[in-house]
Amino acid sequence: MLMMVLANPEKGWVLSALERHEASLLRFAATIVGPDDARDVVQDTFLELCRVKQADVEGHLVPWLFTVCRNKALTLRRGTKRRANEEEVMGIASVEAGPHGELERKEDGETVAALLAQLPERSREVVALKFAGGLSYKEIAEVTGLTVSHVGVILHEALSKVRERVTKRERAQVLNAGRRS
Amino acid sequence: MIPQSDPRLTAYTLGEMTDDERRAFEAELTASDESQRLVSELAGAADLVRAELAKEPPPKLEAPHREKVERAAAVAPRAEGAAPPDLRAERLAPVVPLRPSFGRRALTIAAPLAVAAGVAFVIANSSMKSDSAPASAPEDKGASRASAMATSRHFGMAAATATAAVDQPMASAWAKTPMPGRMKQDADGDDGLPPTHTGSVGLPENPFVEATKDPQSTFSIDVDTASYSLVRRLIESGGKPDASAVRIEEMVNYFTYSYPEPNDSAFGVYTDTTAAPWAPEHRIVRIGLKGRTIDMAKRPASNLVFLIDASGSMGGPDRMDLLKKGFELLVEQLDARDTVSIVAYAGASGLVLPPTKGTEKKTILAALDGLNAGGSTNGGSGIQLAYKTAKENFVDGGSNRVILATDGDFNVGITSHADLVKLVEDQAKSGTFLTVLGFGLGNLKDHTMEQLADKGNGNYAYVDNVREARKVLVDQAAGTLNTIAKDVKIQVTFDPKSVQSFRLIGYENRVLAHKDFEDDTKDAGEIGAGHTVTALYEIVPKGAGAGPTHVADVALRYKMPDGATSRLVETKVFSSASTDLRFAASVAGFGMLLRGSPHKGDLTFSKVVDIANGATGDDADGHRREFVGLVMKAGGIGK
Repeated sequence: MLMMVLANPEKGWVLSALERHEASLLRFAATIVGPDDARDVVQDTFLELCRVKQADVEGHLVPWLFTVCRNKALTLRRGTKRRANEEEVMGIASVEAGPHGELERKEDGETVAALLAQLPERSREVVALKFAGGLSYKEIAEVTGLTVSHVGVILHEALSKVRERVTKRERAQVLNAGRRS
Repeated sequence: MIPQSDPRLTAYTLGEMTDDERRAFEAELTASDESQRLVSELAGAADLVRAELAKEPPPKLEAPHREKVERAAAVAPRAEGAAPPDLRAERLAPVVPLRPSFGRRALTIAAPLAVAAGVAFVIANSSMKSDSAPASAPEDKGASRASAMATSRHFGMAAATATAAVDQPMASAWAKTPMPGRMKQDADGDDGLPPTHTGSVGLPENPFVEATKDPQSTFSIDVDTASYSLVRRLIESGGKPDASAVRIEEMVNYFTYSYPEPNDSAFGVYTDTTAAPWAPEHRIVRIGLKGRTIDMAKRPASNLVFLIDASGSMGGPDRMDLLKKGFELLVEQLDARDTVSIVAYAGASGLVLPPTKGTEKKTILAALDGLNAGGSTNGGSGIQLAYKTAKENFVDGGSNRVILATDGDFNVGITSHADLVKLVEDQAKSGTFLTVLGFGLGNLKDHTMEQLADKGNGNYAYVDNVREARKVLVDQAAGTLNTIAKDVKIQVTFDPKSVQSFRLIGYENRVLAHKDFEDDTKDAGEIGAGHTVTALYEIVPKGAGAGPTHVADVALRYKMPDGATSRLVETKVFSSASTDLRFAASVAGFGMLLRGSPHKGDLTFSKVVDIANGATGDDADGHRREFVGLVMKAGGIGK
């Protein structure tokens, strides 16, 4: 088919995986090591992919990529941590509200960022795999070694926290508005 | 009531249930308004988390990282046991150098050159004169337009039966991208593809193809506009769209361009060229189609079935409320010729409104108003019921259409995607077309919806606000409701003497095999009344011969909405670069920036703003000025 794929079918599959998954991998890696190091981690992940045979990862490319990416990110963070005297480097916690968001959005964002930062390490990782990486429960289970139902419980708890906080804030706003009028 | 701690609430929200689980769960959901509220709040929470995590980092590797991977990939081990590369893939030309050797030289359209089969593009090398200067060759332009109008015609073609045998490949490739000739790992290796929030499967951009190796380019038209409104929604909410959500042709086609009304045929074909904003020595070649306008007062009768997703996730102001508003706008325009039926699935399931005359607006609006998101599926097969209802009221020569409104939950009574596509395709063949309206973010299955509308001979629009609803269901209602030509295919043959290489911008999932152009059994895109369709090529011109140069021939095939045999269109219309084309090019450039396109050169958001700002034209509907604002927001300009 004309123009559908890159010129060389041998390197095409890695590049096509790169095209397709780099954004979600970058977002995921950033939650562990922050946005700058995320690029190195994702680059190394794809360099690793160049070393394997296509047939070996076929059918589970996504869990493979995220597993490798996670391991590399964790290794990097351990190193950084040691160097920085156990100073925590948390991507999520450091994320600031975007410059263009409306005020309400921004408040939501700050709430959400703060909530995510308070989650236990493992939950944070599962949330990142789900919402930054877009993985299914089953794929998350493969990457983390948790069971599918455990993944479901973790995500439900995390989302419920966000839901409660946001609803509370909305109720407070309604009350305030009521008082003002 | 379902306990708040039940993890199924989240699993349901995130689409992590099997159909059986979902049905059982929805049965429990109906019993409790409280649980339904929980589900919709959890969906909102999921949107917030997703938006939060999408804020950073930039969605692309930077050049040094990318190059390192590309170098390594070049020596990557070959897949063992993988299928031999598709023969068609062997014809792929390597990417050619982006910068031609002869440097910057402005090219200007001079005079048309009629070619026996197809349209001739002619550009002349008239040194150092920009084609945006209208003084370049006014008489030539006038003459060419006149002669083009005079010779515009189409031919009836020998019959090729357009039945059977289409479903197989499409059905089996469902949920992947149904492109022939994709590589093996694309077809087989992505079973675990993550459901991103748009459900999209991103395709790499079409590469440059050397005209000496394969001068032809064949594709199906696409009138969808959903990608633009989806991108707009993502940017406006502070996020950044994934490359996979950016379908450049849909962004370009969101805007209406001022192609003249066709005289007596179903649609007219227009072409022009301009310098590429991101590489001034390259040319942009535009092919524009304009569907014949139908006056709403003179349009054929319509038989409309609204198929409405009333599942729990449809709650909220950007979904059910907006959906109701949108349909109200549409109903307001209907009259005694028309009938409306409403079928809901999930929640209040079944035939909500039996076929009702367009004059009985109160009855229709009351039925719409009574719809509530949430509740169970009663196992009814919503989509089959919708088609059955459409069939019972079939209007010969009218517009028979199911309008599906959903946030992407396709539990419409048919479990397998392959069956769903087959149903939609079969129904399209027997005259009932499908229009898909997407709502909300979260579990929106963008790609799925695009494909369904594609197979259903319909169009796909993403409705993010009332203004968008008005555009699709009021301003362009005639086009949304009335298809004037179907299976529209374009084949461009570039002249290797004047074109070094070319690349089709966007349309990645609409590319056809060359031989499919003449194959009337191959499905392609539809065009509605008054719709405009724009396709852009970036070409690298070759040489600098004196006088006019023949650049390409264009041929078009289409069928009448109820026809099985295609017609071939020939026309030749030229104009010099217009405000319109510069605007279209700026939209394409914006899409390329969002995708992190390797072809983007030194293009920046500011440059896009500059070009678009100077090309807003009269912009009666304000869409172009809104675009400028959107680009500024995406680029963080002027805040």
